[in-house]
Amino acid sequence: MTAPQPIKDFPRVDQWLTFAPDGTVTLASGRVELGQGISTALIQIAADELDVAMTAIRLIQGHTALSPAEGPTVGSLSVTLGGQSVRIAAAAARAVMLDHAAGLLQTAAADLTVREGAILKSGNDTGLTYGQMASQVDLSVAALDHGRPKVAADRRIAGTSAPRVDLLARLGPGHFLHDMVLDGMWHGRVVQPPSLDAMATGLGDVTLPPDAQIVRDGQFIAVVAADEYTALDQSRRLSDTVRWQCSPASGPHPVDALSGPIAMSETLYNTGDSTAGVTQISVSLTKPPLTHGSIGPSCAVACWNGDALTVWAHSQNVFALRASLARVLRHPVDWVTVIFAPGAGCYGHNSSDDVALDAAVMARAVGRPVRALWQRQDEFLHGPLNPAMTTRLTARLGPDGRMLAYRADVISPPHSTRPAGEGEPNLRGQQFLSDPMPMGPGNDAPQPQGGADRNALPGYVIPAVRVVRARPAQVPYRPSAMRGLGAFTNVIALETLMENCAAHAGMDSIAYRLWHLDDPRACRVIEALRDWPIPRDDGDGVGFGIGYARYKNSAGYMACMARVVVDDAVRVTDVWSVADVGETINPDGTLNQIEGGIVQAISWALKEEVRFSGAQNLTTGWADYPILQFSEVPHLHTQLIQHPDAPLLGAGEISAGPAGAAVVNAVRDALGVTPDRLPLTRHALVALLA
Amino acid sequence: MTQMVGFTLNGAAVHVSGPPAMPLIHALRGQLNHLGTRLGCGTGDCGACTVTLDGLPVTSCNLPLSAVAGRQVGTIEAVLAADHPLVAALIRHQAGQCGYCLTGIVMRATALLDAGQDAAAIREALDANLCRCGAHSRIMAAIAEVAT
Repeated sequence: MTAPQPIKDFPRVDQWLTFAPDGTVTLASGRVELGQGISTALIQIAADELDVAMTAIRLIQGHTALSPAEGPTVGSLSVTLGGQSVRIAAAAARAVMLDHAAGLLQTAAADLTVREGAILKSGNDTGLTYGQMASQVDLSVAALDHGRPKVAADRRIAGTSAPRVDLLARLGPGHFLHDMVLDGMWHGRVVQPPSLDAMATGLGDVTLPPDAQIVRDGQFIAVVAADEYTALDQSRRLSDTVRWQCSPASGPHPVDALSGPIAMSETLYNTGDSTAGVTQISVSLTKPPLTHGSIGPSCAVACWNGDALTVWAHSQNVFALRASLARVLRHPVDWVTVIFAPGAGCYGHNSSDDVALDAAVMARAVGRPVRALWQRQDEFLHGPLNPAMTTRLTARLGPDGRMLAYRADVISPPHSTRPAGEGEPNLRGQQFLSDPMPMGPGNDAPQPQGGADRNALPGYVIPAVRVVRARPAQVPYRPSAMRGLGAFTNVIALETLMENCAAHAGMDSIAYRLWHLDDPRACRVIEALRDWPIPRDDGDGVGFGIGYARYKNSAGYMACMARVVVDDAVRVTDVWSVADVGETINPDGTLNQIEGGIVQAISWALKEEVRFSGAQNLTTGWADYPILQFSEVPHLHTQLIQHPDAPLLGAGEISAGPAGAAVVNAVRDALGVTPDRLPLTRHALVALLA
Repeated sequence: MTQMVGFTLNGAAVHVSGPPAMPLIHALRGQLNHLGTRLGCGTGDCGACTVTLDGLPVTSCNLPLSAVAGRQVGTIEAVLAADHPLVAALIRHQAGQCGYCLTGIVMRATALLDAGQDAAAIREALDANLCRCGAHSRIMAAIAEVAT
């Protein structure tokens, strides 16, 4: 296979791995641990190739001064690109070390092996170790010129369900950035301006205690205090007294905006005869704006040392954040360091970058380190939101029911407004500073990744395919990239279309899908679902539905079946899933990611909507935004089809689309009507049946 | 404004000073250097900050300091120090992803386990704790394993 981009961009072994005399190996990765288990997987890969214990490896992740600038931790690409690069670098490090040992021992490198960092000859200890040779070996060599990764049969650690290296630490004190304390550090809370054009005309009558101060920079207002509670308490007082002048939220509701004026429309894909076929079948699906819903609010620590700025952030892309901070602060980028530290799960572009700018501005103003924390209400009201979108699909079928033409119209704002450094920094605070910078509109990546249009291109074999993406003129929120981007909505829409087409053709759901697939791995996950002896009952309100997708048409394959019971609400009782993600580094970790995606997708599909009145966001707390709870989580039955010799495809985002589709099709099965609006609340069911 | 409040934290007598309305979590994290308790929503809706008060689970982000005077507070630090079997079971089941919610879940679950409740009752009670990563099934499997 071709080498992944990161190892081409950072070709030297020592850009990834360094060895210490005590035998520890430092692995530098640009990928970051968001709770998805990437640190365990990367350590497994490196330990396996090097033949050292996992405990011998110290992982540096997302450090702008020490890590290869691999780019963002997104898109289920961390093991596919980052992990494979680590594997190549580690295999090369082992080869270079063994070459050096062979010279010292006056033998052939082929006679040497490694066990836990010790060099063996014909299985016997040679007295040499990686640690001993650490200072003698030059690892500033091209990784692709040395060694080769092990074949699957020789792996001992990668491919096993090694326990998560970080889970126990996450239970206790000190692991999260939220617990970080620097000497002299104070705590900061931003008083969020209510709108982008808000001007503070007065702060009101506020007297702060001695160990607290107000930071004001343009319309950026915050309270910084020695004690965290004081910062919180005083910022709330201040937010009650500060007088804002701003225009009222105007414009349409986020969902209404989708049927309003269009700013831009483009045909992304167009092939074949779109008029073929004799029967036309259409579906539509609209999803409201969603929030990422991190359990921990976004946090950052900033420390200025003269002109040098160091920021600790739970960003998905410390490299872009560094460039964005430098740009907004009008500061040389070389003087900014951003270091990843763990936060709560983000599932995409939440406020974690925004708070980093807030911390830097506050720390600069008060001349001491500051730990900044958003409040939950800020996350709902001012954080980026997974945008509302509508997907309309039309199929044209031949006389035998086969799909001959397909058209997708995806109406959505762009899903990526991430800080892009030299492009759009897009940190919320930037527009409020006395030297402000306007926010940019963001964009969607081109196909085959896509943004709003991700997975709008069907994975089924259809002779004529057209995909059109349209952008509404105005939306009253900042759109975000959340787990799977448009794939969730697009896969559900496509799978409800397949279901309706199968019904028209008088065919079984699974047989109809298989008829339109030519990729054996795609067929295999669906066949595995078909052959699974799943008990099918048909009680009152019971429905079964299936969903299939290959994420981005290039990553993991996934097929799901859901069982629902519909009475005054929808309850999902069981989800059966089959996934093929190629090689799996940690099967249990992969299952955990797949299961998490299923649960999140059910929550999105059944419960979630950021509530607006017109353009005004009314969602301020969890009471306004219920998510799936313990008692509502279904039984999950998940199978992995493993291919140890196949490329790594990534797992984190593959399940939301198929699981959501299975649930919506199960509701369709129970009610006999295809849902066209999420979430499937009681209110939505009543509207659907009306 | 500021008052001195004494209570028992994980079996040891402690005193903190603060406004009576200050939520317990800020005393724990800010004054008593017990950083294991996690601040989530600040409104008692997500359960991340769950501790025990006289053995019963409560959210500490909306529990005023004045309400804990003279009472017994338990935090994750004590559960970890006591090597509660649920902790090992959670690790075995990889029952978490980001883990931010997990401290509060462990506090509620261990309090109910220690009170003899069964897994089904604990599952219902855990509706007071939100998990966004979707690790619920694994968490319940770990709880079921240690429930008597």
